[in-house]
Amino acid sequence: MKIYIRGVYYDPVVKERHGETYKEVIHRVFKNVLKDAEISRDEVDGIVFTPPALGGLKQHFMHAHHMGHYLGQDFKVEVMVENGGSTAALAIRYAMLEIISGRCKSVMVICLDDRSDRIPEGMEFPHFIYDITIAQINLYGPFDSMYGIGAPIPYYAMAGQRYMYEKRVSREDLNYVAVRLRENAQNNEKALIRELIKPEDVTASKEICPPLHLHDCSIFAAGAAGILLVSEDFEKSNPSKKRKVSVKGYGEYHTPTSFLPNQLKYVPYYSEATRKASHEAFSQAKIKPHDVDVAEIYGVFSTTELTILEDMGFFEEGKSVYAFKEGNVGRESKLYVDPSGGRIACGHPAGATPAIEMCEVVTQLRGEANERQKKGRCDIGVVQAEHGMLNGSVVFVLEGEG
Amino acid sequence: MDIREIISRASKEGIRHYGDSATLKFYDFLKERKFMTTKCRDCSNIDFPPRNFCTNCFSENIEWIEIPKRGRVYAFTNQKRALRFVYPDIIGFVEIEGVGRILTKLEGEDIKIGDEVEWDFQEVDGLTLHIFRKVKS
Ligand SMILES: [Zn+2]
Repeated sequence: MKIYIRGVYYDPVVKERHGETYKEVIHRVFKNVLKDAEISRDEVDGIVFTPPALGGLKQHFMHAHHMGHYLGQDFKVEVMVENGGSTAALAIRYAMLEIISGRCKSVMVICLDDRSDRIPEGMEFPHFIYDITIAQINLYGPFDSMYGIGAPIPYYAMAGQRYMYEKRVSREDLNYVAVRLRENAQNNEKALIRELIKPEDVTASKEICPPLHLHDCSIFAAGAAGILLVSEDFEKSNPSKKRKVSVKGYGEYHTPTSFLPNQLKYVPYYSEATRKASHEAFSQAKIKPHDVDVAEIYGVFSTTELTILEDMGFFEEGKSVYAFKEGNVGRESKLYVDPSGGRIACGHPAGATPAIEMCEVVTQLRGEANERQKKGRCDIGVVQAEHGMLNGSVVFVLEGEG
Repeated sequence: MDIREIISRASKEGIRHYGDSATLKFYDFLKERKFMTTKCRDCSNIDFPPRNFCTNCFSENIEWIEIPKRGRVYAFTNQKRALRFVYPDIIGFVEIEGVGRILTKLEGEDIKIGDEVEWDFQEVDGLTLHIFRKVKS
């Protein structure tokens, strides 16, 4: 059974959201996806949410229920999905399963994220410290968090350090990842960071966790995205005027590791989950990595931008950095990597990121990306998401038809 | 209340809530200056972090063993804004043969990948933690 991505919309990624509450954002995203899909609200029979923010100290108990009430609409499905960075990808999967089961013909997925590193208004500092300490133990576990891990950066830095050591990737060459992603972001008016930089600017930027500098990292951001998935029957009886985009393959895999694996059998700088999820998705779609025209991946740091591309089979181990160095990841390249600017330049509102990736790939496959539209063939796209430090991974293969 | 005291109380509550009885036992051992984890008596698998069951064969016939004294630095970095330690706050993963990779605090001059290190202890925020020091060659 075919599933079509009928509607897509994402907000410009911003450092911080002002003026609207999360409910207003969701209402606006809902309307914008309907407009893109050219259907009415009554034709949507299911709705899937991500939490309004990943982490953070405010509760969002019964979020899906409250949003259904707020929107004032009946649904056959109303649910919230969460699993770290893969959250939005798994919300999209949930919508797919409701269509595959035959219960729904048209399911909306609404994803957003907001900065959650602020002290809530009116909360005293000691109270905040208590709550944030507990939240960090939740996320990084009762062993690692005692060493002061307050963000995932140290894990990525250490995995990246070992990757560079083993595969002889130089710091100078690594600089080109941020350089190229910003070049891609330049033509994306929704990207957070569009200023061009020179390779030496990366190592001149503040060192966050060696070997990673500020420009190697995605930064805290706010964003929102919506996707409308419809059944084959729905699409037949109510055809879209745009190029049809269908889901051709899906893969998902999880290893029993958390952030940098403790178990010696895993290679910490590569991801068995990404390899298996890619293999599953590519096999189902009956494609090979070289068939892919455009990819949006969850490279939240420059080093993982490289390792994910290698895990997915696009480049040999240790070789992806040369594609960036040689400028071979842009709109004129055979494989267009992160046309949105990726996590490092488009911005990374984690809870919405996989949905933003999918919006961008659909826009490319439809041929609607204007100045950043891929040159030449653009028929097969992939979307990849992960959680932890690539302990789990989700891969979609999308196809533009006709 | 002092911020360090708040972190100490939150840490104990966090360990209790997000851990299990093996987690509590691990920290109790550290208090006695013992660095321990669990080994399966049926299949000989060693788990780190420790558990009350074996993740390999699911047997509950486990024993506590001392973690070998020496390992090698797998990777390391530093943190500039963490709440636990003062700068230079060097943390790293130490690879211990037969056991696994353990996140820890590293001490010593000019630390490099592959350096031999050995464990010791440090009191922080009411807890005793393991740290690893570079072995002088
Ligand atoms: Zn066993």
